[in-house]
Amino acid sequence: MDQWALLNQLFTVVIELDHSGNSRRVSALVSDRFSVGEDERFNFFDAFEFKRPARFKGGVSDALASPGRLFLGYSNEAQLAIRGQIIESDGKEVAALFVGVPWMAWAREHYGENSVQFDDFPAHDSQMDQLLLLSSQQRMLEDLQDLNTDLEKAKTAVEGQVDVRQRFFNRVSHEVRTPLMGVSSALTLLRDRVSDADALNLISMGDASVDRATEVINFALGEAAGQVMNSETLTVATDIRHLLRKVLKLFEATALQKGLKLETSVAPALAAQYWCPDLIIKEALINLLGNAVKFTTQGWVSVDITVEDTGSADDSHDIIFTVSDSGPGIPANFRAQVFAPFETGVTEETQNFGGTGLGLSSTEVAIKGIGGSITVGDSRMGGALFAVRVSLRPCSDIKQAESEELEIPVRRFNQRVLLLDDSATNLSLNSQLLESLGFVVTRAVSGSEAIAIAQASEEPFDIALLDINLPDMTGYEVAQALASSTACGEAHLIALSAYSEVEEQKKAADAGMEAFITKPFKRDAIASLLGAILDGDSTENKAPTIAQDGALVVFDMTPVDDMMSLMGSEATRQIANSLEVEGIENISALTAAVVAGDTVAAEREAHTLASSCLSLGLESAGHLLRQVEADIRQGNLPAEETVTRAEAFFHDGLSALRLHLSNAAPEIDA
Amino acid sequence: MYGVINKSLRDMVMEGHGESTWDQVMAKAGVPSDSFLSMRSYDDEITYRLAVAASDVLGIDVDTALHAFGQHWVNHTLARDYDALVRSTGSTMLEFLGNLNALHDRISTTFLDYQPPEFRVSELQDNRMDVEYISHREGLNSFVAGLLVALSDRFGEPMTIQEVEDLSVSDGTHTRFKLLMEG
Repeated sequence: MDQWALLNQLFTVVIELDHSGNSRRVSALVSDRFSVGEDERFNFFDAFEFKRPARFKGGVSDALASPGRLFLGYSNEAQLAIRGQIIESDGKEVAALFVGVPWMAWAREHYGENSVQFDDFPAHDSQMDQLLLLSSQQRMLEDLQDLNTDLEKAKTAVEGQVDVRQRFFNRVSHEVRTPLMGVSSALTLLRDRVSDADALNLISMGDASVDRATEVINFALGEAAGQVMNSETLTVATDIRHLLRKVLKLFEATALQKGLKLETSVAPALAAQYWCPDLIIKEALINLLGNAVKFTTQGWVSVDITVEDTGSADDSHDIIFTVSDSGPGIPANFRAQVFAPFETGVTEETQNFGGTGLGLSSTEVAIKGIGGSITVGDSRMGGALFAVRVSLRPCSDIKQAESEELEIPVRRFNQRVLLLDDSATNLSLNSQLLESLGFVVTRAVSGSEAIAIAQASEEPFDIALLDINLPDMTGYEVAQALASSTACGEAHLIALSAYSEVEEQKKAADAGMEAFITKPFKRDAIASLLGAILDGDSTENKAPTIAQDGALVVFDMTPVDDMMSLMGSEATRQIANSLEVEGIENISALTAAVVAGDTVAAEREAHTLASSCLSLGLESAGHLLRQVEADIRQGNLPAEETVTRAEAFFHDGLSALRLHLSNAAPEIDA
Repeated sequence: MYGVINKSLRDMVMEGHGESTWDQVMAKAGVPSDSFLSMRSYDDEITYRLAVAASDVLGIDVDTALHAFGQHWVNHTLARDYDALVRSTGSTMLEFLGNLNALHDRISTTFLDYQPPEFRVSELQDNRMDVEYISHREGLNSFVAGLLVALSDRFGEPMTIQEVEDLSVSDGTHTRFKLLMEG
């Protein structure tokens, strides 16, 4: 067999080339595609474009300069793509030979899937095998694409369902607030009318349940995050010592009842006031201190404030609030999830204390939201220790605040309120609640009725409390209509809603409303808020304060009444008896410590007695002992006469307390 | 370029600097999605934008970033996904570089958009070897230098690039890397 015949058996694309690159003999496949007869010629390098070798310029000599290289070329005219090698020939007229096969991938891509046939390839060529493989892979790819489409559809469907469920959940959560408002208001009003101690206890339990349900709903609706988002606007000049005193006051009664010592220490370096998101700090301290008092059955609970200079350009300080106790502590294996929502870390020791497990979670979210941190550890007695670290900037232009807080007695109002709520229950209950504070309330059950009242009324309203979700129009529309009415033109417009999102609050602000109250609310809270709003433009209405004339009263009944409403009169009397016994001991020990010059003991006794006195309303004794405590901390032991004066205040206050309890007893326990 | 290149660049940034850094690179490059298919051809512009953005975000110059990427390509992507192919291409640096064109030829038969560079490798003489890099692309000399460094590590043949000579061409790149083999 000659060489030509041999090559045509091994390859299907065979072209003899002369020195100019013109074809001489060509294989059957080439002849067929180029439609050339035996004697017809074409220039190989003109007929084909070459993709490989890259930058191949054409010509026999160039081709032979790359021996062994794979040539990949195509002729669009002949609809033929080829792959093969150019080999040197030993003939005089034949300079080189192209030997190869069709380039299947290129042909199928550019000339159609039927542009190559089975017979175009010699048996040893693997491109047909490749085609089989590619076909199977293509099928697999299509299967994967189908699967991907199905997954996309399923994902969209699931997301849709999640969205629907989320909206349903949000709606339900919001709607639950409305009846909760009713329960809360009803309990508040009921408390005013009930004197039976057991009934009062049941009301307190109901109140606690409302608080817990509200806490769960608020958490579910991400209100902690919303609050954090607004923290910038909540940053105010804050006296942290004053803030701490207010928080401690909330727990003094419970601590006293449980026989716990409430200890505090404040670093002297703490500035008078800081620019501070006070609500967040206050809530954090309440949460941490509440837990400490709740879980500690004996010993002490301590709040310590230390200060570190951050050295930053804005002179900010790192303030560390450490709340520790002598309670059971946080088990080591629970610390990792102590800030996770709904984690209560209940142990045998703590299982009776209850709780939603949301307090620490909310606290962490809020503290992190203001750029701070919170950590958990062991106290010196093996109890729990939580440390909140926040960076705050001192207020350099604000003078030292008054060292003692001013007590504000129960505020009575006399202003006119237009109250709008489409829930008849809430309208009635909230109306009574506001009336119990002294407000004169006009009720409206729809937006149109509220507008009609405002247009018809001859007497102006001071406040319009407007529910937002109404059947006939939105509360925002009502607010805009009221703003142009005679009776409500000067009124403070306030939104009242179960929906508390930032977006809703913005809508309220846009509608000219001054405040946004989220249901459910407490009587004290709304009294405080409405008082602040009314005080904003009327200083003459400010409530008188006990210390307004510079004198301290011997006894303030408010904390005792609060305690009686919470715990009943019997328990309050027992606490008063304990105060008498322990107070006398404290006074003796304080006197002894002053005489002996023992500052540590003197400070401890003054602190304990001051806390006890203030939590039971013994104002003059409590404040004087606080001053004594502060003086000792500065290194100044009090004169014995001062202790004697404190003792006299203590006995006077105790007499007033006994008198108040004996007067209150028949009424309360009847 | 094929998606495998962009994926490799993404892996390098994410493995070395974390997902958030890669997100910054994507944002800076203005590339909306990093779901690259390895064997799909993408516009070269995407790769260039990602490389420039990566250098910007990492605070290094583009050449340093490309050099590191060249090394990552050999040490991670080739080693992980194409190790058998690399092994069959050569067992020494000279053999590997000598067969690189043939490897690229084979890949070109199936991946029709593939536009690989050409390499011309001189004989090893007096421990010196010249590698010419010829490409229609521009600006990738540092990437090639990174490849050469990583290949010398892979084959255990220490070398230094003594000179990078620009053999100016009207379009694309033609560069000669003069290597001094230290073994």
